[in-house]
Amino acid sequence: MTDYDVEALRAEFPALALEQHGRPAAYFDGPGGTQVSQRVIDAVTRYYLTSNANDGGAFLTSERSDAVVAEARGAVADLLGAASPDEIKFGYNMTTLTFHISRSIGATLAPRDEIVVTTLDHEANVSPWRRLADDRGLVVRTVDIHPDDATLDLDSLDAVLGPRTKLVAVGLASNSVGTINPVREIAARARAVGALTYVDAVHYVPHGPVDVRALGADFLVTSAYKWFGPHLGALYGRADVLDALPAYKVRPAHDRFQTGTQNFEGIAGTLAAVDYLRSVGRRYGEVAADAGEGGRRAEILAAMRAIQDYELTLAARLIRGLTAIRGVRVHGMAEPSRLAERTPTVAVTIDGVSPREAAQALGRQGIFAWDGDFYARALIERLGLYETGGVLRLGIVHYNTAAEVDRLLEALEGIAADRGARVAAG
Amino acid sequence: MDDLYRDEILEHYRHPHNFGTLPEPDAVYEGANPLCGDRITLMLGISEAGVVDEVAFTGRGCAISQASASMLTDSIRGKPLGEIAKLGRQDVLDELGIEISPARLKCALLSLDTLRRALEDRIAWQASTEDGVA
Repeated sequence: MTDYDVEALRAEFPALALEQHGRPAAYFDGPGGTQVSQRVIDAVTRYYLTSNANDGGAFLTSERSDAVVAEARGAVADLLGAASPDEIKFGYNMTTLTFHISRSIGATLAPRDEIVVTTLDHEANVSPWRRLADDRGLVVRTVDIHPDDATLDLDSLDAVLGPRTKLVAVGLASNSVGTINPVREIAARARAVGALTYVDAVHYVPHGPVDVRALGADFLVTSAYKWFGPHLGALYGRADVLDALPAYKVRPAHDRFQTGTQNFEGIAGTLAAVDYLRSVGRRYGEVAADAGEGGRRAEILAAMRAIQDYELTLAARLIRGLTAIRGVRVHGMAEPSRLAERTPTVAVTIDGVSPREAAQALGRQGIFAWDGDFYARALIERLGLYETGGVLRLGIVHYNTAAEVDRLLEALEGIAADRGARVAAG
Repeated sequence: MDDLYRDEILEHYRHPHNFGTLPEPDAVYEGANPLCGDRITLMLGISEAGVVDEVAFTGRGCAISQASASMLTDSIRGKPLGEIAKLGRQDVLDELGIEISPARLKCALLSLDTLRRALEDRIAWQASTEDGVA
């Protein structure tokens, strides 16, 4: 084990070498999607060169396709702490997987049964449940937030939970403001009234370790493209819960929840993305191989702990810098003492500058950041920011550097100062 | 300096003290870190006089969580409950001796949290049986 070497890791990501007008690109758009390592690119290419076929056949390339799916399910099971690879299902993306599984869950529900959603969530974990409610006469109840720090209001959760609650849909972390939710506590309260918990972990997974069983999640969804893999979604479903659900699928299909021909090249790339994380764990983490954890799971956990520690140093630097710039407001938790309660995804607004204008100004300098509501529409409305274009989202992932954070802060300082000067002149 | 402490943590992690179970514990609690799944099951044997005379734990997880449990169980063996109740977060962090990042505080303090809950459960259990008798 050696100290975390971000430059060595960056060298594995060809896209990080991109330049714009002679300046290196700075990627602060990670919460919208991350870059991939050469291993992932190679794995996708290798799949096409050596394994390209549909699955379930009696010949070499088809057998290789079966093998890559089986191996990738095992890898994602280890990423999430699932008990078995059979609990992992791949699909087009998290939204599609959620719409699909919501149909199966809906078939077990009766009119006036209730589903709980939250104001903090991405629409992909809200709209499928609202549509299901419309179709089947269910009632949707919403958990509110504390707007001052953008955390879930657990009193409001207790107020909506009841004997009719059948499912609680909640995010592991907010894709807009970075709040990590107390999902174990929420799942325990859901279980106490006999409800299932459906966790959107898309935003959280690249930022720290996950253990679906310790969380008590019945379902958990993630997307490989947020953790340095291809555009592919994966769903964890607890085996006994999945077994009890009716499946919507074509008649002879051997898997009950993976419908149609799979994106095999994407699955190959996803396997490579997990392998990349394992290599990070072996290099920079403490691998707990002799503590009863399997090798791959131990390597992944070691990687995610090392990544979490590193990202926290950058998040502290970014938030400290942001709070020192006049005219910049951080939405969500900004206290240094609460860094462990959030991901390094920071939402800001700049007085007198719309989020789009700020993103454009950054973009001209080769700094990539998203503006808007990121499909967390209810949250942005609740924060009173919808009419003014939402927020500017500054997302750190494990390949960002302290120098990039400083460059971002300097650019934001310039944008805020320009506006201040214009106001003074006007 | 840091390396020395780090080596000690790894040593505790690889060869944890008091690792195992007690056949008839007076207090038991399984603590877990919900995000990463670090687990510690702590068992205490408590004498009539209120002294922890036996202690054992099992668990799995990162080096910091397991080393912390190994060190904490060493430090409470033979101590009266009143003294153990005074153990605070800083005592555990001092014992570990390395800088713990905010993200890892939960790992470092899982053993203390588990210990407190084991003792709370025991008190709650005693209260409920006394109620039952009355």
